[in-house]
This record gives sequence, structure tokens and C-alpha cells, in this order.
Amino acid sequence: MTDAAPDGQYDAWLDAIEDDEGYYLVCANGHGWLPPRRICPECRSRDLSEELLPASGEVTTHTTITVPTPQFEDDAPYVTAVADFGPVSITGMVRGIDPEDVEIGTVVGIEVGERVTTGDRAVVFRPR
Amino acid sequence: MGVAVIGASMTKFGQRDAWLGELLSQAGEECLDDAGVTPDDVEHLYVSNMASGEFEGQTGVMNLLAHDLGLMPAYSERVDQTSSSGGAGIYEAWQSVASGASDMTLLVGGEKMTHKTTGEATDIIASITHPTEYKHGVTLPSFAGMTARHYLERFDAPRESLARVAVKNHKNGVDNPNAQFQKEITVEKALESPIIADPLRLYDFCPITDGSAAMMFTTEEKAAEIADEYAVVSGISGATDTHVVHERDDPTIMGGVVQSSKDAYEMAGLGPEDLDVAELHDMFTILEFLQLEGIGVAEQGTAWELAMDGTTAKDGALPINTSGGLKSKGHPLGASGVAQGVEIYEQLVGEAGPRQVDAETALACNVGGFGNCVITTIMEAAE
Repeated sequence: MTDAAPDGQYDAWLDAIEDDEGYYLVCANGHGWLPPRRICPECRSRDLSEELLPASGEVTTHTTITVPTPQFEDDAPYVTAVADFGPVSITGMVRGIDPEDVEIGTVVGIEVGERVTTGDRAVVFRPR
Repeated sequence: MGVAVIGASMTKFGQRDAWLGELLSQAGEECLDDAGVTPDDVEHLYVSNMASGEFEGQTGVMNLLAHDLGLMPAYSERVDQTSSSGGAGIYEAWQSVASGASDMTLLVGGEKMTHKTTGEATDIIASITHPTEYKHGVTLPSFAGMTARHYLERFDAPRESLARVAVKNHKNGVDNPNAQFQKEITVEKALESPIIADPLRLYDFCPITDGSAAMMFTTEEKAAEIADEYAVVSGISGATDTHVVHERDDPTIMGGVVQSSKDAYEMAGLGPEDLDVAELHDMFTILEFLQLEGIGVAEQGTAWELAMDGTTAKDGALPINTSGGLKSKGHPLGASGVAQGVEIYEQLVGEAGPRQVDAETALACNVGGFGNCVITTIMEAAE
């Protein structure tokens, strides 16, 4: 996988988050997903529309990576978390807080940051 | 058509000088001998392998093996289902015989990994995650860390219970001459080992491993003619779950394990209460709990108790991972599911040596990705 190559809908999604217009996709039956997504895996609906992401989410679980892959060598130790934004959950890196202070239930906002090792964009959660 | 397993073998797992082709050939040749079958008899060859292209720059390994073992003109195919490539190979081999397409099918799984650094190998493995996760430093160990934290906090399970899985499987591995580690560890050692993806530590993870394993499949009729002892594949199924892990409703439920085991039980006409022994995919200690719950042996949130009270020990009511599991035997990706099959076969035909338990019915659960794809196999000793 080459991060230098544009990644269609995913990069467009990151652009939107950078502009404070982060969104998710929702089908006619209310199932929420992150892009890229053409078909709702839950009900197979192809009628997907964009809705604005809630301003904050809650960390549902997290881990601190101390043994990274080469692509994250200079990022470690870093916190990877899943945050619940209501209709969707999102995986990202938690910054702006001591890793030891991250807890299940920590309220976070979403933004786009840079990976230290490669300079590539990544989803970043920051406590609110 | 009923499908039987009439032979099995595995190479020593661990850090090997041999590259993949040589490892596959060794396991394949030993399996031919164990089954008492000549290369001319083999009609289909399946090679379970996840990433020889990424690890060795070598693709088309099934052709290499067909030639090395003198199996031509047998049909050959490589099976990739990430970490469950081995289980998927069992499924393919079963299908080939059950459908009547082949009367004699050799399955060989293998991977060569240790020539890469831990970081490089972890990155190759991490590439199986969804791009939206991979770009954020998600690795398979990080999924394990996040899931373990959720499980321990939600079900009020002691951290020690995970260490007990590692201790048990290392103890079992002592009796497996082909295991990467034949060394017991203590709960204290596991709990004091370096943190990798908190709350998980070094001894919660399987190692990076080279190795190969093989099984020979034929019809039940032919097995009854040519084999003294054999096992029957009485139930087998594969299933998938979301690729993106955060899209699961409940991170402690492995949907692919639940579905594939349900289907396999139904096919075999059996239930979890009928199992005598099982091999589960303990790539991380937490996965042993999730699979015990997924295959219906324990209620959700309670499998940790089985590690604490000794139920899953070799002398317990349901021995789990008598081979040492991935944890101590090692995890050469494409070989692991086949090696699970080798262990339950040897248990069923009474060839497990010092690891032997009393078993008529056995299950193997092979997990790909973090539960993205799963194969559950049930085998029974032939009557």
C-alpha cells in the first residue's frame, strides 16, 4: 500500500475533517459507515447519503503501542483508539494527553494530523 | 462423500535456515510417507501460504512444490486466507474429495518469516487490516491490546487469567518436539514481561516463526481400505466478519467463529458438549477466551474462568491447545491452520505421544486477520 498515491473517497473524507466538515455515510435504514462505501453491509442498501459527524466521540477502547512497525518507528509510543461517534465508530491516534491518562469514556474531538515517521495524514483524536 | 485424513506431518517450527520451498517439501514428503501414499496417487495439491511474495519475493509456490515432490500432473493451487490460510486449505482439500474431483489430496501449509525483522514482519501482517485502520498504526497486536482492555474491564476478568493461557500453552509445548518453544514459563514471568500493546505483554503474543505442516485427505471408503487408523472430517465451515474491526457491534464477539462453528456442529450433528479436545487460534492470549465463547464452550465474558480453574489444561475437562498452540508451537501463518489439523488428527488416531489425551471428537478453529475470516473443522476418530 502506498500512502503517497491519493486514496479517492478516503482522502476526500480527511479533507472534510480538516475543514471541520467531517461526515459519515448513512443508508436509508440509518446504518452509519465511514467512506469509502458503496453498499450498506448491514441491509445492502445502495442509497447512501452524507451526514455531519458529531463534534465529539467517546473512547471505547485503546492501547499504547510501544513496539511499532517501521512505518511508525518515530511515532512510538503512540495511542491507538476506537472512538464511538454515535452512528459510527472511528479508529485513530490519540494525541494531546499523556498515554497513561487515556481511559475508556474519554471524550475526544476528531482532526487530521501527521504521522511523525512518514508525514502521511492520519485521523487524530484530541481530548475535549 | 465422506472425507478422511490418513496422514499428517509437520516440520520443526522456529527459526529455520531453510526457505519456504524446502520447508514445504520436507512436510510434504513426510506426509506421503505417513499416509503410505506415493506421489503418483496424489490428484490434487493445495498449498496454504499467506505471503511468500512479501516475505521471500517468491510466488507460485504450489508449482514449486508439485515439481519438488514429483506430483505432476496433479492439479495444484495456492490458498491464501491470511492467518487462516491453513484452515482454508483444509476446507479446499475437503471440498476436493467430497465433490469427487479428487480421490487423494495433499495439503501443505507453510511460511518463512524470521529472516525479516520483527517490525518488517509485523508490517506485512498489518497489511491485512483495512486501509482506514492500517494508516493509523493499527497492527494485529494493537487490536489484541484494545480487545483485551475492553474484555478485562467489561467482564471484570483478572489480568492473571491471560497470563494463565500463556503458562498453560507453554507447558503443553514442552511435550511437542516440533514446537518453537519447549520451555515452561510462570505467571509472574508473563506478568512482568515487556509491554507490547498495553495491557498485553510479550508473553501474550505468539512468536514469528518458520515452518510447514501437511495432511493427506482421501475418501472414507479408500481410507478404510488402505489405512490402519484414520480420522473423519465430520464438520467444516468457514465464515467472515467485518474487515474493519471498529464496525463490529460487540468487539468481544468473533462473528466468524460463532457462525463457522455453528455450521460445523450442525454438519457433524454435534455440539460443544461433545468435544474432547480443541486447538484454538491463540495468536494472542485474549483470542483463546473469545474463541471458547464463540464455539459455545463458555458463555460470553466467562471463558477466563476456565483458564483460572484448569478446565482447559491438558488434564482438565476440555484440553485446549495440547500442541502448545500458536503461543508456544509458533505461528508460521500459512502452516498454522494445517498444524492445528495435524494435532487433532494425531490426538484422534492416538499418535500424540506425551501430549495424548482421550479423544474421539476434536475441533480446530483457525482465525484470519482479527476474526475477518474463520474456518472451524471438526474431526472424529474412525470407528
